[in-house]
Amino acid sequence: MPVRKTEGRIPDGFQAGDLGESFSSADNKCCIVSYITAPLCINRENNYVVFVMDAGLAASVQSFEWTFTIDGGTPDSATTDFGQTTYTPSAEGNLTVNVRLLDAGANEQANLSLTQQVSTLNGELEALITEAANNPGAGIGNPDVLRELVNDHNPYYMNVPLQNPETGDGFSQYLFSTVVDGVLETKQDKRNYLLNQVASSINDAETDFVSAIGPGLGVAKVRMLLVPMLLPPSSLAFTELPDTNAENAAADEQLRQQIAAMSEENKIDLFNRIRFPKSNILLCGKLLEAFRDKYFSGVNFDDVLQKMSGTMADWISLNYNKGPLHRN
Amino acid sequence: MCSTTPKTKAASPGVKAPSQIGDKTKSQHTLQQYLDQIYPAIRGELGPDLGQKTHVAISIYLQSKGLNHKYAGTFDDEHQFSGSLLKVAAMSAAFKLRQEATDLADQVNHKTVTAVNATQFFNKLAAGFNLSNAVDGITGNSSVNKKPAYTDILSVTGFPSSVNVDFTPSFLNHMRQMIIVSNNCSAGECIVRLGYPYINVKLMEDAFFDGTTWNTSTPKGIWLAGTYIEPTCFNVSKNLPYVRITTTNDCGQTNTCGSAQNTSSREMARFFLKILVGQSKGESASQGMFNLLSEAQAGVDTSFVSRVTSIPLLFSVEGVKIGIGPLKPDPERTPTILSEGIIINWDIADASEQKKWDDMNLTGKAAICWQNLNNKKSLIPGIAKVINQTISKFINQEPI
Repeated sequence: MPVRKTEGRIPDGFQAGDLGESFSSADNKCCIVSYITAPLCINRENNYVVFVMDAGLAASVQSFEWTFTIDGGTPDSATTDFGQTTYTPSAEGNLTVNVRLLDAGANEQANLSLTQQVSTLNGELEALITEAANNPGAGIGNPDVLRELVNDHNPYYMNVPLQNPETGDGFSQYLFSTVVDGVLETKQDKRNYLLNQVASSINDAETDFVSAIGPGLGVAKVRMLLVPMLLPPSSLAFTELPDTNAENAAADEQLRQQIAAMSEENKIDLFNRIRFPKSNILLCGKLLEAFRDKYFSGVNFDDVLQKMSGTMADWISLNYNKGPLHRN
Repeated sequence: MCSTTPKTKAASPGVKAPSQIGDKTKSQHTLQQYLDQIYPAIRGELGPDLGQKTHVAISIYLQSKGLNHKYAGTFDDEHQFSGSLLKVAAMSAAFKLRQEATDLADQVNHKTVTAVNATQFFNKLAAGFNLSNAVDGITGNSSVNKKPAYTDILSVTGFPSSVNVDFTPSFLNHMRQMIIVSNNCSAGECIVRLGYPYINVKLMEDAFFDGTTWNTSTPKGIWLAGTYIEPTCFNVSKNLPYVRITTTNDCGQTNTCGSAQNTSSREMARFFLKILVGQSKGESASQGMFNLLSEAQAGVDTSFVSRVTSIPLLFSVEGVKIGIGPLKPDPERTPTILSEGIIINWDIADASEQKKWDDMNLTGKAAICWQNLNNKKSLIPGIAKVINQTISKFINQEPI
């Protein structure tokens, strides 16, 4: 099945550009989405996904021929069975990504292109890393994690709006640290593996959906059950979980089974919103705001972080990772 | 698993945390890239291009709220004669001397150093200087005074334990005349009292002049070793010989290119930036110099670009030192050339424009030096255009 179910639709209410950097065909039957928005970074891996939204086109496509060329140099080519691939640029310059959707006779059915600038690692961050390495003290954190966030995802976490804007940078700090936690805990290989487990469960039931959506997924470790519970249209009733591990795990599984019972379209949409870093980080921000509104309504994020020794932030983070929890 | 939920205070002022590094899609082009694009397009409005001697140098520093000031420059390392602009070097040396004396006074007041009268005080002050480190061209000249005339510059009172230092009224008056109205006689008085060695050493200590280049074909930085004293000046008898080094623009029709009041635009702009940064931190010396430059702008010697009316200026000038320097005779040039160092404040129109400056962590102020412009009023709007367009396009990150 070359055009998988998970690449057969853009989430309801979304455009391709809401998932990442994208290019759509003129007839809007298909599109390509890049996980990372340019400028890309040399020697850093990126993922590309092709969605085929038109049923007729989807039925004819049998393979995807990818070509990557930097400034007209020697192309890198690959053919995949379904519409996803990874690419790591090895030189600076202008990268052209081209994908041809081919039928069984290798005839081109559609053609998509994306041009992205490739440059070096962010100089400001590298200077901070070097300075931290040369000076005693706590340092600035894990360099590899920071490199991923700043080089790959910073247009995303820097542009998550609050429903009700606030002064101060508490929200942006909290969102950044939550995404850092996600990237720190689960490396990119593992993240891809976990997402592929969910995709397999949807596309061909090779894995168990309920188990697959158990862990936090994507760059910000978003737990799928929180999304329909806390965010509109709130299709899952708000349910507090016990805080003891065994009881929490059992209750968590029951909630995941409720998600498994949703329509296939809903599950695909939830998966794709979590799959792409841009929408994943947006979800993270929305969930943090939803928990804040739920438990500490009216408290701005500067105070959430700083007052009461940060216990409000701790509670929100605990709920983000294990909740919603019953509060004694 | 270790949590990084932030609870501790933010990074030190001026030092960005990784979370504060700007959106990569919004800050792709540098200030230099815009100047590189704009300057050639406007070059024709800056007078005839006859090679290096007619290079109109310009350097722009946009002040950061932290340490990452944005810089762009063209012909910015070329050592050019710039006339009265170099009087700021004497001003800088004077404030430096006052600061060093103030620091010594604090030590006397805290009894870590003993000085019971002005003579002892100035002896101790002089002992702390390494004026023999001035370049050979100055130290080897037997006709120039080798040290400042301390008592003609500073007054020291309040012995034994409430010592206070300030400029003498006479010196202060001459320094004000030197900067605010660019009086040559007063400039000479200041320079003679300070002496070439002190001015040169302090410029080198602050990395505004590279002492290893003074007698090469490419000197680098700010050079002041000429008094400006004219035959009609009250102090003509004090005049000192000029110590000249190679410039790129003051050769006349000969190969003799030496001048005594020269700079590269990069170091001069950085000098003005230092005043701006220090003034914003409330440093006394920087505030004092800024005040003089501000009075100059408020007086008759206003910035040349601030006088432009043919195009709208996107900024206002807060402080200035202009230069009108007489070149050696050259029929291909005007008799005098223009230069200036300025501190500007960008006219930020509204909240959305303010956000652009904030997103780049910039204050909206800049330190600029341009020099070697033929003295024709019609050429000055070209400089204003370069400043307008370079900064405006950079802030708006317009496509290049």
